[in-house]
Amino acid sequence: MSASIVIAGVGCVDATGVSGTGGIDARWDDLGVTPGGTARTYRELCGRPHPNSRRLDLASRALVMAAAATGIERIVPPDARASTALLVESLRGSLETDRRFAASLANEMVDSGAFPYTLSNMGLGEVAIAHDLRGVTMSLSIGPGVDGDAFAEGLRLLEHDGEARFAVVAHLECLETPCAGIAADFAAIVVLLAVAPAARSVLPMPASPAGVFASLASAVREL
Amino acid sequence: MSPVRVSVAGVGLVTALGAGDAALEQIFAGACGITERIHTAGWRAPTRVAAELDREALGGRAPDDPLVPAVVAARAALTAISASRAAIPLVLASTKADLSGLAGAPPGDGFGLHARLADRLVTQLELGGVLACVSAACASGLAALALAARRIATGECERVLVVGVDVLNEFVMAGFGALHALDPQACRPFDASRRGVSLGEGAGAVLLSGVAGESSGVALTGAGGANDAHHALRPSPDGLGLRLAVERALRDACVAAADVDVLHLHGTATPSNDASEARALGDAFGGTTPPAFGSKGQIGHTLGAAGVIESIIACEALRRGVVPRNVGLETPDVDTRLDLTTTPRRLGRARCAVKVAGGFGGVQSALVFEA
Repeated sequence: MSASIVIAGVGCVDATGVSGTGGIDARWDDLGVTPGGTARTYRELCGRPHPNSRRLDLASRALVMAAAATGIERIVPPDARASTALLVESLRGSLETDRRFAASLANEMVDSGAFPYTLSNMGLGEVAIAHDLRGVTMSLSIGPGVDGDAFAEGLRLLEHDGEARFAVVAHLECLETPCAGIAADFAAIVVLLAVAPAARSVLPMPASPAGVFASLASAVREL
Repeated sequence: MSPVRVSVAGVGLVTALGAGDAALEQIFAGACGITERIHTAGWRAPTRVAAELDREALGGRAPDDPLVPAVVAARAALTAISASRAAIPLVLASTKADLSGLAGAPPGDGFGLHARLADRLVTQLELGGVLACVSAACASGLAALALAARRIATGECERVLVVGVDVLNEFVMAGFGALHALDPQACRPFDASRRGVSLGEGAGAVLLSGVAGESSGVALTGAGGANDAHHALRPSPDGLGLRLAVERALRDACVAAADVDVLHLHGTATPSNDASEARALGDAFGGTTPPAFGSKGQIGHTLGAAGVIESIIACEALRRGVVPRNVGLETPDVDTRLDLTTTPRRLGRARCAVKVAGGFGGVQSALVFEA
């Protein structure tokens, strides 16, 4: 792994709350909301509204809050935002929203608001809008037990792209309602990678991308 | 892109206009595969037409299973080389790869799990494993090709098979219908009368190779990506995201805009997308663009498969030295700097093609192919 790339921020959203190296640390109980929050939660955490707060699905909302918790708004300078890459990995993708939209097919009115969010890259688009990021954007579907593909791809982009100095890489699982033997799972972990010296390191770079999101989330919770 | 030349070693495609060379003949002859809905007729969607695959030609096997067209396309691409398939990994591109949960199977078995479809494809074709499954909306195919090329360029792989696939289902048709994005008739990209998308289905496969001597004569020399950071569904009216993607791809390939001979467009036929795309390309090329064409007026919008299928068509334009006409286009109604072909045009020089695509979530992609 390249020594010139650092972890500039980590943000986590899970069943307990939102935390990150960017200064946000809040429990859902303290915010008075159920896990995942509401359309207002982002504003309460970040001091400004997300442009699309009202229409975001749970997964996208988790991703934008986790991204904010990295401190991205403070860390990535305006002149680096046009090339900042965005990558997310997920096993279930948008399954929660898929099910919501599929259920609406039986109704007279199809849930048009849910349909776009059945694409697993939509949350990245909302992160891009929130922070004016215009780099390469990619969603990866991973197999069971995989953790770190998006991180590794982010490193490749920073090492070989030649233009990007920052990459937002994320692991997202968002199944609120158990189904067909699949347990509920709710976690959005966002890591902000940077090419040194564009940002300082907040946590050590792991030796391997395998398992990186889980280990960084644990590290953040212990801070 | 890198010291390693990433060649297009083999291709395969399955579309509403048939498969392989027969499909390419139809496309370059200006045929249209968007017809009255038959297989999808029972599904709720405000359109009479779609670009459906010929189920009989596919052997009538599990017609809604994306594995079927994916295997046909992939096998065709793999015939180009004699290397062991066990050494070739797969990159899959799709929007909603596997929606079998909608058809009665438990949701966890399907509902868009790309990894499951990729595993089935690897098993069926005896490939070396799954390298990645990419879902970047309607730019999935280009993003997957870019990822695969990067793996070859970095020396991690010698060859990668990229397969893009999506099949029609009620989920997608009703969704686009609910967004008022479907044309009731066959779509007319870039035309003044355009009213939206015609959905299609299909599969495309490209075998990329960094091994000397394994080439169809075209190489993937540059890739660029961007995000509009503008709106979840609508492209930026100023086309900034796509312009950035094209400029990045050209820089990656070390190619000047003036060296590009043909453009293959995204051209969905929605009023906003076509207008944004035309402006972006006019800005990226700093004036009149190279001759430009799209294929969605012929084979519909094949979503996650579109980028791979249409990249094959772009490469074919280089091979033939011909730019086909834009089917459905009579009265162009976009930025006039976009040089849209209304009749087939022979190229004086056919060395470099640029292929572009965009999708929901603001994603934009561009690739450079050189003969």
